[in-house]
Formats: sequence, structure tokens, C-alpha cells
Amino acid sequence: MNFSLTTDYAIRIILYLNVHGKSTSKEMARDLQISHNYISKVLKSGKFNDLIENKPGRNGGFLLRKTGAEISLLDIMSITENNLFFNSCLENSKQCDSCKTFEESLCPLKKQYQKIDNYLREKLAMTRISELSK
Amino acid sequence: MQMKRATNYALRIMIELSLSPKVAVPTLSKMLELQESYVIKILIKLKKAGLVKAIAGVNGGYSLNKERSQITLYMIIEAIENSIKINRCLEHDQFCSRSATDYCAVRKLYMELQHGIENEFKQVTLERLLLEKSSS
Repeated sequence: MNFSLTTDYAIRIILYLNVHGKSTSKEMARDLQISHNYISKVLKSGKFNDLIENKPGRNGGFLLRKTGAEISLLDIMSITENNLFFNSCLENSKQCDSCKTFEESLCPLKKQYQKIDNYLREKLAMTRISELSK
Repeated sequence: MQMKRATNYALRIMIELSLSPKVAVPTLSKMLELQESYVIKILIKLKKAGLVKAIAGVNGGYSLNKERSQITLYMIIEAIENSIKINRCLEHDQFCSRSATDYCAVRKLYMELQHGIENEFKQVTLERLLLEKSSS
């Protein structure tokens, strides 16, 4: 049930950019102990376009589009995690297919998952990159 | 990060077992619309965790191995999921490729979240779950 490795790396990269400003993928690979290939692949995939800008050219590099105070862990995980819902039954598109004992709207398990899911999202949304950089 | 399907089935099985003194595998398999072999696989994990016991014989089946009030959602989830830790660095070996386990601010937050999640699941017993069902 772990968060993905991509989540770990993305948080590291964004924390780094928040502290160091514009940086190249080589610099980040060196300082963050992440392979250079991986960093360029992830950053050039376009997934992080809302958060990270890629400035091409000789003095180019990557930099954040927002301040650290404007980026939450939830923003990052919404990009990196395929499923941020704690249980599949919380996804709108999915019917509760494995827990048929209860009326869906009354299911005490679902209520429990909802509570945990809300707790997680709230905490992750409250936690800003600026705070973690201190 | 999501709970496994097998865990959802395990919870459903445990709820069924807490409603009757004994349930046969074919009954569970029909109810869950799952192959018997898969149901047995889940039951074996639950048995290993000491949550259910097998009753041999023609009228055999499975039953709870403890009182409903002694079985928490946490125990059931733990029996099926390989790990219920939200991040790799919270596992027993505390592995971090940056070797930052001791001071990492993100890990500190993860520890808090992990604690919050586990506490929620530890508080809910099968007994309480069924009470909520009947009162809703």
C-alpha cells in the first residue's frame, strides 16, 4: 500500500527547486541521488507542467512555476499517484463490487474509508512545500 | 496507494462469519461471486493471523476464532495486505535511498499520517461495525 517511488522523487525534486531555484537535471541527479535518466524522463513527460517550467537553452534548467507556499503534497500526489483514493469504493466511477452486505449509502466500512480518505487529503493539502523546506 | 481487493473480500468474509456461528466455503464463494479456491486462499491468511478457525467434517466450514468485540478492522487488513505502511521509509528496515530517515520532514508527516490511519482502524471492531449497520 506504499506511495510510489515517483511520488518520493517528485517531492524531492520540488523541494530542491524550491530551495535552489533554477537547476539542471544533472545538478538534481547529483544532489538527490536519483538517476539522471529518470529525472529527465519524468520532468520532460509533461506531467508536471503545471508545477515545473522547463527553460531550454544554454543557461536553461527547471524551475517552479509557483512558490513553495502554493504547492501542497496533495498537488504533487494528484499527479504521481494513480489512485489516491484509500479504497476503490470511493472512486465515483466504481460501484462497490466487493462489499455487498450493506446498502452502499449505509455501508459502515465505506463510512470508515471516507473518514480516513478525508483525513489524508486534508493533511496532504495542508502541508506545503515551503514548510517542508525549512 | 489503495487497499487490495482481497482485503475488501476478507472484510466481507469476516462480517459474514460474525453473523453466523459457522459458514461453509461454497456459501461464501456464492455470496462473494468468487471461486472457492480464491476464498480458501483468503481464509488461510485469516487463519494464519488467528482470526478464523476451520471446522472439519461434512457440515464443516469456518468460524471466528475470537469474539466479535476482539477483532478490529486493523487486524483483518493487516492479515491480508503485505504492508499497510503508506511509504517505503516507514517499513521495518526504514529504507531511504537518500539515507535521510532521521531528519526528513516528509517522513515525519508520513509517520503522523500512518499513526492516524492505524488508530482509526484499531478503534473499529466487528462488533461496532455491525452495531453501526443495525442502527443506520
